[in-house]
Amino acid sequence: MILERVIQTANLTKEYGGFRAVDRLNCSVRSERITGFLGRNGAGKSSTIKMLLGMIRPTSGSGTVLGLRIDDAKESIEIRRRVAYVGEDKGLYGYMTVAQLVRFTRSFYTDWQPDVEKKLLAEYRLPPDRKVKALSKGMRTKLALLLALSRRPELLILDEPTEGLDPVSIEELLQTLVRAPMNGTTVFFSSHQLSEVERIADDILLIDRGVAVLDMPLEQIRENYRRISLGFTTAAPRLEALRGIETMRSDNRQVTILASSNADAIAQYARERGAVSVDVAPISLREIFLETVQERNRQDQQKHWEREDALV
Amino acid sequence: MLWYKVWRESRVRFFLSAALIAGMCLIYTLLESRLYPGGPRVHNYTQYVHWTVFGGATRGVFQLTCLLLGLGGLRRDRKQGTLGFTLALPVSRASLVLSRAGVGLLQIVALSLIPAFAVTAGSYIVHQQLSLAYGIRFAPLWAAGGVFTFGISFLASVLFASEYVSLAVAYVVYIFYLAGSRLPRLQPYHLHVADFMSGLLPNYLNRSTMLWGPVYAIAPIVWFTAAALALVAVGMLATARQDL
Amino acid sequence: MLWYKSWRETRTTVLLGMAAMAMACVAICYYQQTMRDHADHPMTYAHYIWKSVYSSIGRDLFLILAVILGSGGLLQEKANGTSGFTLTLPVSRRGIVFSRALMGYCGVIAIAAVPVLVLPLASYWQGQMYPMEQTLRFALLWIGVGTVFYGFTFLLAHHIEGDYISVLVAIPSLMIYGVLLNLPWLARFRMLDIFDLINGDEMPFFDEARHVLTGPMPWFALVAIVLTSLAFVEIASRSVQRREF
Repeated sequence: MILERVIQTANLTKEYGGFRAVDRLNCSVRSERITGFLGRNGAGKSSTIKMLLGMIRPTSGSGTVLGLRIDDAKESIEIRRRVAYVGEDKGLYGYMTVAQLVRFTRSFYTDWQPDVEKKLLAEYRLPPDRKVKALSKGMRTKLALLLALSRRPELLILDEPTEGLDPVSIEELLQTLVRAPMNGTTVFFSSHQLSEVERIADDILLIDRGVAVLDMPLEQIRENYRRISLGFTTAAPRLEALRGIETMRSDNRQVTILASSNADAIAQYARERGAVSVDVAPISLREIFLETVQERNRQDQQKHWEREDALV
Repeated sequence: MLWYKVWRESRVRFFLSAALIAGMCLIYTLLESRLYPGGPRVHNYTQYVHWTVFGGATRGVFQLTCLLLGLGGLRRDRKQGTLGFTLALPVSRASLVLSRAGVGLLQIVALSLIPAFAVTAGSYIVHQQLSLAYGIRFAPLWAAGGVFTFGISFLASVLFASEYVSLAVAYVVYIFYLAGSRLPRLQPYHLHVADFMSGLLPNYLNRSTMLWGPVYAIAPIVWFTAAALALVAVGMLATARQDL
Repeated sequence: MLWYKSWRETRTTVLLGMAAMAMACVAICYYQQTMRDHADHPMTYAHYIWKSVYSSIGRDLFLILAVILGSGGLLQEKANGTSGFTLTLPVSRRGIVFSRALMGYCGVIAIAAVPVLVLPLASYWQGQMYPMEQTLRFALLWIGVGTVFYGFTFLLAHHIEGDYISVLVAIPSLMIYGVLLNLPWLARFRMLDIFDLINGDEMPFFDEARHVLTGPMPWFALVAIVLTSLAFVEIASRSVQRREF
């Protein structure tokens, strides 16, 4: 049976002391697709991934990976058997040589593909007899990728996989990831390189301060998200928060709206309110990311000031 | 601020060591009436304190803490992924090594003072007579012997990458050194650092009363300190040449 | 293959320990005449070996190496940034902890076993005789007591983060345990005094005049000590299962 959703979380929460790193996260990752997992530093991406892999326990809420519960110790082992993971820090045993580490890792998995291992060893030019501690950061990343990609996992979780790689290796990795769903592998990867994500991802999951703020297929984002720039002859009037308006910034006679849908109706409404120029343009993932995150920052700052004012 | 870095890296070890040494001194003095062994080796309270603290198990723990305080450094930085940051600071490797050695030496001096105060306080509580001056005279001996022990593990931590291998090597070398210094051919040179710290090398303490004699161990203090500085200097030279 | 990993992590200490122990035994035998000639009181060869190997240098070396072997583990991996890789292997945390513990026990046994062969051979080389029956008996005592030193440090190493802290805490704690057993109301538990048990000092199974082990071995005490050590490992395993990495 092929699961439609390989990762599902319900109100997944993680607190460290008083700090809530992941805040009632509800998300799902569709099978045999590539999902880009985005967010600022400290947004809760690594904590989410660590919870999915059983490294840390959720404070509350629940989640499943490949239909297995993430908070059950036995099921967590099965998750790790079927999932390949490359961590953010690419920490590998420095005292082993490349060949020893490959042999060591291979022994845990039945789905190991020696031909892929050989191919990647040659492609990445990894010296088998060199100790891991003597490898450069980029080479260590390549080795971590080799250990994950030499298998045929059902789910591939990658945390910042291109960090430290040269452009050629990045290109090769992206090509490998694009091909993965054809072999039945779902890819879930976090990255700050939005252009890479935009190139290969089918779905986007954007989190900010532990909350999912965007969970949508990239195709749908491209179709629906628009930047609407409005020009008025006098000071811009107050516009209603119509359906689809995600953010709205007003600068005297100029108003800029980020719309996730309903762009035509919003433009029509603006004209009715006296807009003399209405420009509806497609928007890149990078702009959506910045707009969404910055708007949330602005809102939080506003609340902070209001609280300070109230105290005064 | 290099001192601050070294202090932050070693302060847990230091405070723990201080607590352990003080704890052992207090256990031995406060439970003196129950632990007093009597018998041919211990005739009075001073001998008991020497047998348990200044020349006994507490001294052993102090030596162990000195070995542990000597570990760390750039190899550890490398293992923890902070080496790049440390080496990129606009300071010489010699400064890095010296700051580690300097902080270590100060910590050892501080630790060496603890027994004098802890034992005096404990003795006062159990109504036993032992002057602060008696304990304080051990402090320079412990400090010199301690920095020598520190120097051995300091050098081992420079030469060996793994923290526990460097500890094992330092300890093995230390044990062999102690055993070797007991060889009759080497005995005239009074190299046994543990005996020196106990005040028994050669006879700064009267062995029958365990009270201080008229001569104090100035020369061995100088020699052991010089040997410690030599070990640190070798560590510094080795660090300067290492490809980290 | 977890065994391989644990072996790689401990092998330098184990091999270094075995080599050091062998060298110490050989050196002690080599200098036997000189040392006995300069001793305060006349000494038999058996007394000299007991005093040098089983009551000082050899024993101290062995116990500290057992403690060093006990340190390390997943918390150290966390500090070194490799715990993420280890924990994503499809094995239970219990499996990781126990493979490490068992490899450590093997290391303790290997170091304790060195004098079994080396002492009789080195003694023979020096024209002396030290029976293997004695070295085997002492090895059993070493293994028993060594496992508890190992297990206790292992427990600390899986509870306390920070380099060398487990070593720093383990040795004085065990020493204080030994001291407290001298208190009158604990004196009845003589067989649990690991510091006397390891060399037989003042124990019923030790002939104080000839400095050899005689009579039945303290099996009950040894089993109790080994079980205590296993309990320490079990507690460490449970602690790791609860811990977040």
